[in-house]
Amino acid sequence: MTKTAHHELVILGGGPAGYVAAIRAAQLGINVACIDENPRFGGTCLRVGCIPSKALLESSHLYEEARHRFADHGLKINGIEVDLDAMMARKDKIVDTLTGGIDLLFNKRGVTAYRGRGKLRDVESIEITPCGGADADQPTIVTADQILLCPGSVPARLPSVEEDGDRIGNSTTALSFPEVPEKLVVIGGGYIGLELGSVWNRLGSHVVVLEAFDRVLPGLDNEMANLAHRAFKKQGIEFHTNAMVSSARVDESQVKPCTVEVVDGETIYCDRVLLATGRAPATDDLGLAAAGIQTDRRGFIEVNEEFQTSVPGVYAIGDCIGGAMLAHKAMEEGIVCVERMAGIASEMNYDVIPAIVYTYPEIAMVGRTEEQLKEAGIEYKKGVCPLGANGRARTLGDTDGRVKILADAETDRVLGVHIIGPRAGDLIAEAASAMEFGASSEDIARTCHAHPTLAEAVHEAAMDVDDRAIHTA
Amino acid sequence: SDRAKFVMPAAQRLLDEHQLSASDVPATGPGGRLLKEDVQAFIRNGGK
Repeated sequence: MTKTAHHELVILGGGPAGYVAAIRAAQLGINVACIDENPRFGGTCLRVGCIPSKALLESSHLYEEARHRFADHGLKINGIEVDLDAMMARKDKIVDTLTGGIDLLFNKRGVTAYRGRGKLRDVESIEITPCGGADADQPTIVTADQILLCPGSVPARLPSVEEDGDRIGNSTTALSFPEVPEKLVVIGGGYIGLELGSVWNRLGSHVVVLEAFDRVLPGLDNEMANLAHRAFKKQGIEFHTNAMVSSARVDESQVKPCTVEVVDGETIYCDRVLLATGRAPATDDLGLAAAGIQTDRRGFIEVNEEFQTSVPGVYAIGDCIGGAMLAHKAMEEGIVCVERMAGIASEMNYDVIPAIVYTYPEIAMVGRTEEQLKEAGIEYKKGVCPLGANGRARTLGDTDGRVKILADAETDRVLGVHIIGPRAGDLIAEAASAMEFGASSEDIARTCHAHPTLAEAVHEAAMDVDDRAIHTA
Repeated sequence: SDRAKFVMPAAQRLLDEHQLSASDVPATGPGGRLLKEDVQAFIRNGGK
């Protein structure tokens, strides 16, 4: 017999969009339920995205430091080895702890959790089919006053790349290779390809990045992307730009199990292939058609400014509606969407969403790039601080990098901040706060920054906007 | 208005230099903050 339940708000998807929205809704006194088909809540970010990738980036970076940088500090170690199983186990434990944490939070806040595959039956009910496992059960049908769709995204596929989920796979596959591949081809020079490419490069793989465009890291400020590109090359990553992949397949008859063919280029034989050309909305099989919910031709759910879909009472946020596919964008939308349902006049500011690439060096940005400002015809001033002029960077032994602040030439309002270097991702937070408050570069310059810190480079760059930096000439 | 405003640091510097009071200048920043650009515009428009 089918079980039934009713909630004021039912959220389909327990990733950063869904679980945050669920907790916020519960805080606001809404009877809320969250459905997720995976054994763990947390979505792509916690299970197979942000968190596991950052764990491996940190571990592999420490290995790199120990091998190449410890000597600079007068530290000699002999015979450092990689225990890949232990490294993976550490990563898995972090994922385990954090995803388990969501269950605790749901419990504490009174969010009803459903594990199973949810599909819209109509505009007010969802059928949940259990995905097996110990608590496998009959289907449940939940009805709701309001439905919030947060199905997220999946790695985009290419017809020419024959993924077998093992030798040729996506980011999820590349987070759990059973051994360090001797040669790894990464298709796509975006942040996912470069982060995971960096992990395996550091652990000893010969990494070849194939990028269809003439530059890596699309969306980032040109200058920062170029500096990063140069740094990655120096680290031993091989790049082929303007390289269109015509086919990739497993071919056991070759010496190397994978064959990658490039249009007008050489054929590359390698051990593993990571397809990282982008992500697509996970909006198939949600029953959107049954409920009359419209998507665009790429499958993104169309919403208005209130995050309402073409059907009143059904809302959508996160990766499935497009825009920046970032966890914090999805989380923010979750809070704003639910608060509005509760009558709070919450606002989403899409102009101030920081973005970070956790490579070494780290790259972070908020606001607009120089290219975007030029294209929009906005006159701007630029302030720069190279990290070589920063005392803290010197003590860390990490002086490659810079902070760049772009401010309106007339009003001095900060329009964009770009940072490349150690802890860029943490440093960008100050810039985001400043921009959220409508700060001018002078406002940042007049804020006392602790010494010695990397944050002083932000301070100096702000002063440099008006050519009054103290520590650079 | 004599409503208390939050004045951004650079805006305060500019107010002081031009011997203006925050209450003279319309604020357009988030949460009613008085921005440097508000003071600049006020001065440029001859104190209007």
